[in-house]
Amino acid sequence: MNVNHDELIRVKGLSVKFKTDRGEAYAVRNVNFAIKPNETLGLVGESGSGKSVTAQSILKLHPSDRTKIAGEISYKGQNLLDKNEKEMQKIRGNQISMIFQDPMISLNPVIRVGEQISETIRYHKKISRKEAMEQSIRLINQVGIPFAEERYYQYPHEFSGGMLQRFMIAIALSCNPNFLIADEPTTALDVTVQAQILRLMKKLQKDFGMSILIITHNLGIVSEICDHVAVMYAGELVEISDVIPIFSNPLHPYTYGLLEAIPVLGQKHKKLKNIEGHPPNIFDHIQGCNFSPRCPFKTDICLTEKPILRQVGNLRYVACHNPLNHI
Amino acid sequence: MTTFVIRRLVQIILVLMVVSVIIFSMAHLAPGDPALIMMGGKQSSPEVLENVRNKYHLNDPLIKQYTYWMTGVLRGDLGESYKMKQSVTDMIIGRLPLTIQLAAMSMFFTLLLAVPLGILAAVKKSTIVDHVATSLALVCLSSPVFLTGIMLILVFSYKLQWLPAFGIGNSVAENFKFMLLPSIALSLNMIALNMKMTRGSMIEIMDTQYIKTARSKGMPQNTVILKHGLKNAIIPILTVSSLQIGFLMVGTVLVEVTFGIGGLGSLIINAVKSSDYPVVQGTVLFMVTVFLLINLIVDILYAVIDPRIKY
Repeated sequence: MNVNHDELIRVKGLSVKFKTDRGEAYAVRNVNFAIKPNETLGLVGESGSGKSVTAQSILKLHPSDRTKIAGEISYKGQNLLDKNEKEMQKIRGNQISMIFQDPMISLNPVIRVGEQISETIRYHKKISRKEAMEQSIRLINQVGIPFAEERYYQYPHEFSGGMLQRFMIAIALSCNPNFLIADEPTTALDVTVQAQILRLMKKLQKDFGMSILIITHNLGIVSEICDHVAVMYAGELVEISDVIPIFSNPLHPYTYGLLEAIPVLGQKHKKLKNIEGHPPNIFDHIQGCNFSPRCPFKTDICLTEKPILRQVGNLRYVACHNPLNHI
Repeated sequence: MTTFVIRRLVQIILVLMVVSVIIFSMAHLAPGDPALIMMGGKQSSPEVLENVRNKYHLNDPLIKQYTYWMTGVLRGDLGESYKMKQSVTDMIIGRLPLTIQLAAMSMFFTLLLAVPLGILAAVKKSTIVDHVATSLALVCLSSPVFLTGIMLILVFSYKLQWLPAFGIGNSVAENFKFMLLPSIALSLNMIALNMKMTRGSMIEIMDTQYIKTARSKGMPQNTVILKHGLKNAIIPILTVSSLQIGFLMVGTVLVEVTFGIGGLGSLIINAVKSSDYPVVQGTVLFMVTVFLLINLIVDILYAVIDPRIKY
């Protein structure tokens, strides 16, 4: 990727290490990507591949005493990793917001939902209670919840998961951020509700003019709302691409495996496909390619030498010695 | 809510009825002839003793005696002290303010210190602050009230001579000084327990997703801890505090004796020592009632604090 000045956010050489009782664990290693204004990047991978860790590093939400973050996260030209907690507080929820996987546990159970939106606005915009409340009610309407004035005073346990995710989106958008991080925003929801939430996010992205980093293991979501995709495996990026080519022409065997694992309607007597084996343990050190133990296409070099992410086309990157389809 | 309160009040009445039977039987199972006790150990003729027995219905069957006692209780008359020849109700009312003051001051110290210390230990988990606070709590938790009471007297009254050891003082200011050591002695245990509870509960809450949400919204640390954290952590703290009301009552008995305070606690102790059963029965029944009512109030408080609880 070339340095581009209309990039909103660029993550350069991001590595995240956790100190644990069993020693240091690398959750994320040397991750690079960039997002332009109004674009959506999908970060894809199976559980434990480091997607959420990457996302939360951007807002520096990890406990600082147990986490070591290296690299650079430049947002509008400033490195977020250089900022202290106070400066980060001014950015969180204001310029960069986040929504999480499980809306049922993401809202505070003993605070009224309206107040949870209002307090964010009051803190960042320094406006009066009344104004903040009016804005919140408008937001509740905007995320598609009827009777906003009454809903404002209700508590989280009075709503369904889909409704709560709408409130989370309202909180995230309350200060008109430039960048929204959505960490598996629909994983905990019904399929029909998933579609509603995705549509809402797409619509609000246009209305508010923001970039989105969406984390998911659902490739259907990727095809629906992403402009670009980054595939992660065992804490490292293995492939970056525009959204269409990755479906028609996956380069990394892992990406191929993920696509193959999507069940196709109508293929009745076929066994569901999966990728054999498990992702490596975070404490293990693998020589060569991380994916090699599970890779059906591995060759000798894969066991000894780690492939680096290299450019193979326009906005197309892959970390593999033997990419599947040559461009 | 109203139905809940009514249901609980009915429950309390049923419990009190059972408790009154137990209290009554215990007093009557105890050895000693009440008539002799009333005569104060003086040599008396059998006729006089028989007169006394008749006057206090001591010759009637137990069921009948119990009925006499209960009818009195329902009218607010807890009987008459064998020793003091005084109404038990009046004796309780006379001594109640001191015990309430003692309990209130200890509860005040407990909440004043335990909750902030618990929060501090939780936020600074696994640091020196946490270790010191937790170790101190362990020491306080494992020393009984009468021991801490005597240690406090030894240090602050005898060695340092800062505070008086016995009595209650004559003026309001003096009274506060006199009550300081007893209430500290009574609260140390509770401070320790509440602190540990607050710590544990805060650590658990600070690890939840909604705290992460609050942080991701850019809320400053203090708001995250006090508004988003403590409001959730207070629920288990409240449970422990309400259970401690019972401990507090036992504690007042011990502390009042240790510090020579004439409250309800010393009333019970003296009554037990001199086999003054009407007083024992009356005071214990009164304390049980207070305990049950406070628990009811705490249950109502739950619903006020936690919107998920509805009765």
